[in-house]
Amino acid sequence: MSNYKLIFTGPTGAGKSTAIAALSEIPVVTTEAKSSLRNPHQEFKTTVTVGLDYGLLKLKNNDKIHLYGTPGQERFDFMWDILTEGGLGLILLIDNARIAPLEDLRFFLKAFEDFIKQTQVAVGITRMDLSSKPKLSEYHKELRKLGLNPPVFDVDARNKKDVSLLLQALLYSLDPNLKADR
Amino acid sequence: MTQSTSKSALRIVAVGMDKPTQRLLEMVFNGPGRGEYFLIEQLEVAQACIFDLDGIAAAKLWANYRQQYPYLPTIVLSLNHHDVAGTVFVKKPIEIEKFLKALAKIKQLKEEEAATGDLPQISVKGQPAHLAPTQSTREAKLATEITVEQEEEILHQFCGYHSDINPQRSEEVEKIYYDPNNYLQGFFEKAFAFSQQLETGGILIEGLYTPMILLPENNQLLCGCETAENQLRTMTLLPLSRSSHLRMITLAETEIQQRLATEKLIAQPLDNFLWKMALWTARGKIPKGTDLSKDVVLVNWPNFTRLVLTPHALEISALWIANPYSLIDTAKMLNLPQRYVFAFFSAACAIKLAFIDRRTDTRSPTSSLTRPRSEHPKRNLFKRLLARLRGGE
Repeated sequence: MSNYKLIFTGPTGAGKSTAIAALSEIPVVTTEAKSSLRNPHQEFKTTVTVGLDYGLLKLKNNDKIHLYGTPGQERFDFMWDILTEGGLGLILLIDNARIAPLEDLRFFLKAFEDFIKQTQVAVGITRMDLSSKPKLSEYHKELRKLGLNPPVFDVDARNKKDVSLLLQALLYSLDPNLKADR
Repeated sequence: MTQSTSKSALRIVAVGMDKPTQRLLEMVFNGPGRGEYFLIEQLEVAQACIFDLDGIAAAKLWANYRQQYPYLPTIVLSLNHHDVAGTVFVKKPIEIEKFLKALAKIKQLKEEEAATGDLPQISVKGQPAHLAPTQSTREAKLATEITVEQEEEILHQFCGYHSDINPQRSEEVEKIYYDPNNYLQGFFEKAFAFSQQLETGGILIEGLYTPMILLPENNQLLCGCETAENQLRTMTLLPLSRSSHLRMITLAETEIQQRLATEKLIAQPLDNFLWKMALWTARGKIPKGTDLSKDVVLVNWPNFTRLVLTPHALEISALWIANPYSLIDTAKMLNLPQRYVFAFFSAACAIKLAFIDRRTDTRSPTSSLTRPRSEHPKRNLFKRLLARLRGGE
């Protein structure tokens, strides 16, 4: 039995926990930690809560795929390096209804640059039903500027099929000669 | 109902069909059928019948129909039932050419009948007469079996039935091409290309069963009614006649707003519509002029969560994003039927995501297979995970 991990990242509210829940065989576990670091956006609060989501997929040979959702708060990105170590690949979820989704994209690609270089990334754009812009073509354009051409899908994080397709595309990106058993 | 355009036009009744499908029949009769047939509603005065044998209550309906009209010349439309005695069978998905042949056969029988005064007897390729499948036998069919058949049928609708071709044989190569311009697909592609040049507004398409408005900026297609899948699919298969009444009209932003305020328009994503239309039209073929020996460029991954996922489309996309390969080499490398690769390519071309790289030198059809293919150290794990995600484990 071996253990592997897949990383889900993206800004707060992009649907990381929901996407993990869509795939996980166990109820998603959210680990919480209190931090004394001040959140610049919430000045009256002296503490913020950092959440790390966890889910699990078991394979037939008892191999385990651990699904980790990174904390969304950018102040805690020191955890990301630890979390991604040995990870198979990255699922990046971007909330299209936030103020500047393309900036979010750039931020997370930069933050996970090394991990993406070692593995691959697949990008899921959530809440496109609430905000249709930026369009997927704009994301592709932005990614091309950074020399990337990963799968970018319109994703409903509640929909298992959507999340599964995104993950399958990530696997094929990791190994373009991969062939499903037929 | 349509008026006859010819005095000798055959009166045909449709049984087991919904209104939109009947409207499509009318289009066929008036278009490729050249007005030699027309649709009526009363069975009692019909000279022939077209019977859809795949409806929910079709078995019962068929039994009643055959009891009352045992000799009425009948065309049976079905996915599976080939052997209904005394009928002319047209397999679904309906190919217009075969359908027109069946109509011609029925018409010929009626003419012979008129000449001799005999009741029509349809020969079914020397087969002994079989009773129509009874309701009970059909009900006994396992639900899973039916589901598999339906899935296979949908697969055929999108990818066709063609066997692999030998690219060295020109007579085989010719068979894999189709010209989108001969079909509705070509018209929509032109409209789409034209609409993309507009800074504002959209394009109104008239001449279909409902007005359609293309809004490329929003990736939307607005329709006056729900587009029924069967109806639309049949339309895509009809070759466009020269006398087609289709036309494009430019709409200003204010006109679109006015229509949105006064008409009930249903929106759907434009790229999904074009993708599906291309799949239905191509049915596993590729646009005329596609060079089989040159590499395919896939601009980016299609949005597979919202598009029809053709067989092995993820594999093909990953391969083409990593390295361009020719269509024939792609099928060889992935060990896939060529029609799956062709279907995907045709759909991706329709939404301008794929094209043939004309800059590449023409190579022998297998040369790119010699490129190194690295084995990912975790390939077996990925295979197991794929199987798990697809419900295989």
